[in-house]
Formats: sequence, structure tokens, C-alpha cells
Amino acid sequence: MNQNYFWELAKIITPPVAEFDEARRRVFLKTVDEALAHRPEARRQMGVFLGFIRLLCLVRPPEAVLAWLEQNPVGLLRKGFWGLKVLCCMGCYTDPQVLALIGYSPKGLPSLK
Amino acid sequence: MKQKHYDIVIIGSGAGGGTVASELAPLMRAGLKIAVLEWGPKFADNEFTGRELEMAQKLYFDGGGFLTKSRDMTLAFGKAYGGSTVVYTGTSLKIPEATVARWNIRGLHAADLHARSDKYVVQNNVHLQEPEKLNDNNRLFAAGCRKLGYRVEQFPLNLKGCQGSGLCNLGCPNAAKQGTHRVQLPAAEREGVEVITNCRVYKIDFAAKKLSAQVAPAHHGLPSAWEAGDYEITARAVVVCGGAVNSPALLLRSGLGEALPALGRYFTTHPALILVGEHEKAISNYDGHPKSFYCDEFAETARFVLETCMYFPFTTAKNLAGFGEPVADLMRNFKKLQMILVLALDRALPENRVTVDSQGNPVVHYRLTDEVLDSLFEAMKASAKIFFAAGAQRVHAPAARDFFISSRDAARVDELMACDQMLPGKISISSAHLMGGCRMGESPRDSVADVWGEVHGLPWLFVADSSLFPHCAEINPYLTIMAFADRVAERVREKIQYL
Repeated sequence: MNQNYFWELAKIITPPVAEFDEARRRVFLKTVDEALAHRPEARRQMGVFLGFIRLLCLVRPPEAVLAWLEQNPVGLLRKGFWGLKVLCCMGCYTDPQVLALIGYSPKGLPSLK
Repeated sequence: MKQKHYDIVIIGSGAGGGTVASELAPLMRAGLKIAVLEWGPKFADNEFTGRELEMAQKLYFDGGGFLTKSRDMTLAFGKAYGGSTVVYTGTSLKIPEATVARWNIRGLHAADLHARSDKYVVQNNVHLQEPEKLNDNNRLFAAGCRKLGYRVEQFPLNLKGCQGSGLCNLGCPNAAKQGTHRVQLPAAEREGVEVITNCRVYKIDFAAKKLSAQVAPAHHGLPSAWEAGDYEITARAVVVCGGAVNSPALLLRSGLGEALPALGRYFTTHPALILVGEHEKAISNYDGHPKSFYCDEFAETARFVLETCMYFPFTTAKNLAGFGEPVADLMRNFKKLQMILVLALDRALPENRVTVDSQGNPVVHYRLTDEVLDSLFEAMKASAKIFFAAGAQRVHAPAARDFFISSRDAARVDELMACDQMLPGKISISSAHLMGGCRMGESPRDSVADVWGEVHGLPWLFVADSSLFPHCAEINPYLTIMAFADRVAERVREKIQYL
């Protein structure tokens, strides 16, 4: 899976990650990598899907391509987009600074800080 | 290969296995040997950190992201000492009489199930939370329902000393949730029942009454009582309580599918999705127990129920339709969010089933029927109306044409949502109520076990978990699982002297 291209799409899908510095970006990518570590077939399929998106983006802006995939009449493409979105959300909404930004701070759990 | 022998082996330690273990534990005094074999680890109290990703990966099969074969739905089921009772919210409802009547299983009566459920209501300290402990997310749901004239009830919960962490689904960090890991398993262990964690049962040899199992080294949680390695375990009686995915998978791997064509089939899930309303100001939502009310106004007419819920940031974000700035905008207002979980009451179909792949791992085949999608669609509309009745200023509903519906358009909810937007893959559907696969019934042609959980043709083999359910429970199934397990334990107790 092309991590650099994945990162470019992540900045569109989950805009808060566009503010990440290099250290947070590395944690984001490591989180995603670990999620796929035990799913080699899913990793392979995501790599193919990213390649497909890249081709489509030669003729349409990426935001339009992603929206087309999400609403696509072909279920496989919708689910491919959903999988991509889940990975982006996983890296974004488990980042401690993003959690602080959205005000998520359950009481009595200093371990979350 | 290490050899072990027990009189009774129980596979799984959740609502079913934990209950069977505690009910049969007094037999230890008569000199019987009983063991529970649990695939997951036992966690020390300080291991429940509340970190969403970390705990999901440790506590759930596939990190909580187990996908059906078609990838239309995510299934969440626990893998720990205590099974899914470690990760559920503890809602404790008795199965409605009308549901049992619809099940129409000879010899199964609501009165019996209720009497057994009552025992666990007492054991597990089930009660209604005090009004002052209810957070805004819950109160607003009840207020919205009442304003619309929808029937709304408070959930009885199995809590003791709840401190409102809101982290129930990641393992209660305050030891408040009275799952089998807190109540039934410790009681069983006090009587001498052995609970072996990190132990996966691969196969049952029906001729030899022998289990093949493997204990894995502990990567997290406490170490198992047995050292890592392969084991052969013989028993006079075996009670399978691995849950609706793993129980049928084990029996299929063991070769029982040909003799029992219903094995794995009639799998039901209460397909669910999350809706989000945003209020003008911050409300108390993630602090406090997440699930205190339900609305069953539409259970009979449109086959859905609504519940309060409050999910963690990653789970929330991935369940929103759309991407980019609208999602980020909604998530930035996390403290203003109210959430509702909608559950469709699905029908038991033979084609919705558990099979196993070439490695013996479970594969769940589940088709979302038009009826289920219609129920979810109607549930979305009802939920949007509840949000607006509760004062929300905008609502995100995945089937709406636009990302948000504003309160200015509250009266137009029905026209602003479109059933052609009910697209699996775009709409994130999940389930934590997994039922069926080893359903009870009279005939081996269309069922796996009898009404007491005894597997057809194998008088020493029992099933005692939600896989026994012939149809969906139409309510949160936890207490009913315990009632069924209580019945099965009674049968094992009667029969063990002859096995």
C-alpha cells in the first residue's frame, strides 16, 4: 500500500490530520499499518483500491472521486471507500491532540491524556 | 500433547458459559471435575485503560471489526474471561411473552424463562439507575420520545458502584458492571471450577468425546492456568458456549454439519446503526452510563427498536456517512452530540449462516433484506424526529440527501430522507446481538439442539448460548442467554450421572 498517497487522501477524508506534524503523521501511519498487519488480504486489496483511485484522479479532482465511490451503485466500490474511511478515522480520532480538540476527556481516566 | 480429563467441560465463559459454570459448580462438592475453556485472556482491573483502539483490539474478536462475507455489516463480540459480558452495556431485559409466543417452540414458555431471568436479576444487582445519575444524552432521548407520544422505558442495568465512566464497551474500569467475570465465574471458581484462559478449542471428536485445544502465550491479560501448548481433553459432558459465531463454527469444524443441516443457519443479528443529533450547547454525553432508555413503540409495526447510546470518537466518526469537512465539523462538536442506536428486528433465514473456511475459521454470510433496510430507514426517520423534539439544532442521518437536516426543516424529515440512500457500504451497519446458528427445535432436520440445549443425536453434548435462539430475541439478549444457560445446566445436572 502506498503510504504517501494514502496520507494525501487521509488529509481530504479526515481534515484534522492535515495539521499533524511529522511525529503525529508517523503515529497515524503506524496505527493504520498495525490494523492491517493481521489482514494481509485486506492490505493487498487496499493497495489495489488506492491505485484505482489514483487512476480516477487523473481525470477528476480527488474529492469528487471519493464522493463518487461512496455513493457508487457498485457495492464493492462503496465498501472499498468505507474501508479507506475507517482507516483514516482510526488514525485521526485516536490521536490524543484530536481528542483534546473535540473535547473528549472521560472523567476519572488520566491514562487517556 | 498434554492430556486432561474432566467430568464436564464448558467452552466459553460469557453469559452462557459463565452461567453454566456457576450453576454446575455445586457438583464439585460431589467430587466432579469441571473446567471452563475460554479463548480470551483474563484482565486485571487496571488493564481497562479506556483507550478506544487499544481496548477494542484486546477485548473483541478482530478488534471489533469482524466483517460479514459481503462486508455489509461489522460484528462485535467479546474475547475475554467473561466473554461479551465484559464489553456490553449490561442492559438486562426479560424476553417479552409475545416474542416467546412467536418463537413457538414446544416446551419453551415465557414464564419459565422469566423465573430463571429473575434469579440473575438478583445475582447481578439489576436495577434502574437513579435519576440523578442519568446524563443529558439519556434524558433528552426520553424527553423527545415522550413529547412525540412514543413509548419509552428505562433499561434495567447490572451495575454495582457505577461511577459513570461511560467506558462500558471498552471494559468497565471501575469493576461496576456485573458480568460473568464479576459474578458467576468467581463464584464457580470458589467452588473449585477451573477456568482456563487463552485456550482455544479447535475440534471435538464425537466418537471419543475428546476436545483438541491449544493454550496460547499471553500477550496481554493474565497468564493462563495451563502452560502454552496443545491439549487433548476428554469429558463425560461438553457444553458449548462460544457464542453465535464460534459455537456453530466449532461444531462445523468438528464435522457435525452433515448430520445437522441447520447447523450455522438461521443466524440473526438485530442490524444496527447510529444516528447523531447536535445540540446548541454542550450536553453531558460521554460521561455517565451510555444506555439508559429504549423505545419499542415500533417493534410490532415496523420491526425496529431505538436505544440511547454514546460511542467513542473513532467509532462515531466511522459510522457517519460522508467525509471531509462536514464530518470534521460534526466531530469538533462532540460534546454537543446526542446519539441513538437503531436496531432492526431481523427474521431468521436459512441462508443467513455461519460457515467455516479452509482453515476452520468462521465466515458469516448475512444478507440485509429489503425488510431490514426498510426498518432501518423508518427507524432513522423516527430518531430524527426524537432528536428535534429533544431540541437538537441539526441531525445527521445517513439516509438523508444532505449531511445535516436542520431543525428549521424538522417538519420535513420524511421528505428529506430517501430510501435510495440506504446503501450498505455507504451506511455503516453493525451488530453486537449475535443469535442463532445452533437453533433449538424438535427435529434434527431444521434444528441443532432440543429445547434443553441437548444436541440432537449426541446426549452428552449441549449448547448454552445465544446460538440456541431460533429467532431473534427482539430485545437485548443478555439476560435471556443466562435463562437459557440456566435451563441447559439443569439438564446437564440431571443427566451427568448417566453420561
